[in-house]
Amino acid sequence: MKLKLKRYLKLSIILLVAPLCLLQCEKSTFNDTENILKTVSIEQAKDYFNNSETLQRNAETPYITAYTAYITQADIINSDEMLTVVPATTGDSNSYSRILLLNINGEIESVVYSMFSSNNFTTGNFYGDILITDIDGNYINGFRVENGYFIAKYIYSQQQDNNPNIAYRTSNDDCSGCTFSCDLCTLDEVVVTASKKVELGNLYTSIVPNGEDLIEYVGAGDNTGGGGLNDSANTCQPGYVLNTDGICVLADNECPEGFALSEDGECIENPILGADCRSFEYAQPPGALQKACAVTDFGNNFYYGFVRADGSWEAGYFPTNIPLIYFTMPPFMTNGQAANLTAEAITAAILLTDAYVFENADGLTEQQVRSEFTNNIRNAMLAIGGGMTSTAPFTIPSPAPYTTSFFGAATDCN
Amino acid sequence: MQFDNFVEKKIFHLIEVLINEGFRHKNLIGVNLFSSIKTKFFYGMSYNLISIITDNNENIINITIHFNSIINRNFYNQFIVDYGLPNSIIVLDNFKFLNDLKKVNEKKIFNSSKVILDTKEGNFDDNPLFIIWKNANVNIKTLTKFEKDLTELTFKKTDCK
Repeated sequence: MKLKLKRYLKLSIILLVAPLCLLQCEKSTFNDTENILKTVSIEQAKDYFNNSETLQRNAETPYITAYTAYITQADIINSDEMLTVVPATTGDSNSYSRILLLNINGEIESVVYSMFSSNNFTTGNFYGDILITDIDGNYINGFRVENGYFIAKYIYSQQQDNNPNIAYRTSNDDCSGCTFSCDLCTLDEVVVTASKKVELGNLYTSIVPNGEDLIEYVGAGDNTGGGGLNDSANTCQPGYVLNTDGICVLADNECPEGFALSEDGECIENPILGADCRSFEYAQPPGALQKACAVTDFGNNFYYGFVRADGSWEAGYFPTNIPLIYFTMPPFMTNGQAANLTAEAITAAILLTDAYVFENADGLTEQQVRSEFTNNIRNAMLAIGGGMTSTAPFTIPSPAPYTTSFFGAATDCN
Repeated sequence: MQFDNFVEKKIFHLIEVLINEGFRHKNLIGVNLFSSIKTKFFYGMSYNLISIITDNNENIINITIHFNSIINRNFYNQFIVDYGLPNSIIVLDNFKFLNDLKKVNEKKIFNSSKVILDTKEGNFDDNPLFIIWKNANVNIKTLTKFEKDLTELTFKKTDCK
């Protein structure tokens, strides 16, 4: 059933929670439940991911990689609260995934909502399977969808496998005949009343399904905004923009020189970047799971100056230098997009470290600055789905020299 | 715009103001970058970028205007009308040193050091590295990065509180 999906087509869908015409009686019914729903703010979502051991990039083989720079929010039917939607990738290159966050009874709960198209997303309405797991990859629910309608629910049977964890499946596994993965190969199916809607209770196990349809599913590719969770106008992954047909397509660079294409497809001037994107020459050889680039002579001078209470002052700077460093980025981006985002991330890390040095200048040590700079780079790269390492992910024969340029910097390497 | 009025306030107030003025906003790891296609002016100095750092409660810690060049006498004369004379104008004893900034490269994984510069009190015409205003409500610093021919102006919460 599972087809090999082309990556660019996989990105052509978005998940949609469509606002419905609501009946007041339905709303009151929902409010009568014991579940108190609250929106998870974008900042709370970022904190959640920063504090999640599972999602930390250094965690051992995380199931899901979240892209917290692109968090959006979507309406929930029958509620004034919103779902917080985080683009994500799993180890399965055939899935198109989002992490959905909701505060339920005072706790932030997360699920991973993954779509597996059976026809490469070539039709307006979705055909394929929906998999819902927790962020560790533990099975919660699954659905079969045809022509945009949920027509069957998959039932996991404890008899088939004592460990319904699909976290560590890779696309190289020979499980092409399985519904979702080797561990979830043969699932029982229960026919359900065909509907374009799915209940929150089918996503979050702490919510008892009460028969209400709270999320509407719409098939991909139609002009109503595609399929899935509609987190506002543009929910495409980094480097992709929504075209007039509501499809995420690779962003073309049609901007004049000196301008850069933003993630929502507009040409903007990006006049001051601490890092030139040409420093980051990403490559991904066959077999490599991620992109990587090598940069030589990477660093920055962090200035400080302060006046003490007694009127004395001190001024100086902290030079930093890493002779050779490697940056990594997710495989779905183009090399140029990865370079652009890395330049922005490094710029943010530099500015944040600048502020730290400014704030704490009196008595600050070089070790503290080094530690702060390192953490800021790691966090900035993590926020765009990338990483930093001193070990080569694969052989990179020609590292690029680090270039800083405030004006005249190349801001678009795509 | 009176940027100092926004220091220690919730950033959403300033986000609204800046977006209405045509800035684009991007937040990455707590650094709020506001860039403008159209060049903006602050006391006669041109700029296209403002960076704002907030604390965990979204309160503004500092606001930095990244000027497109080194501040000039015109800027200084206008600025002191509103903010008074600075508390310190820090200039380098040996200006030539600025063109030969120390570069650490000891073939370690991550090299770093601390360089304390020989500085003295000076005046604006001495090419100040820092100009510092310590006010009751907000501290203001200019930092001129001569090797890059530009100045950054930062409003930050006062240390006096």
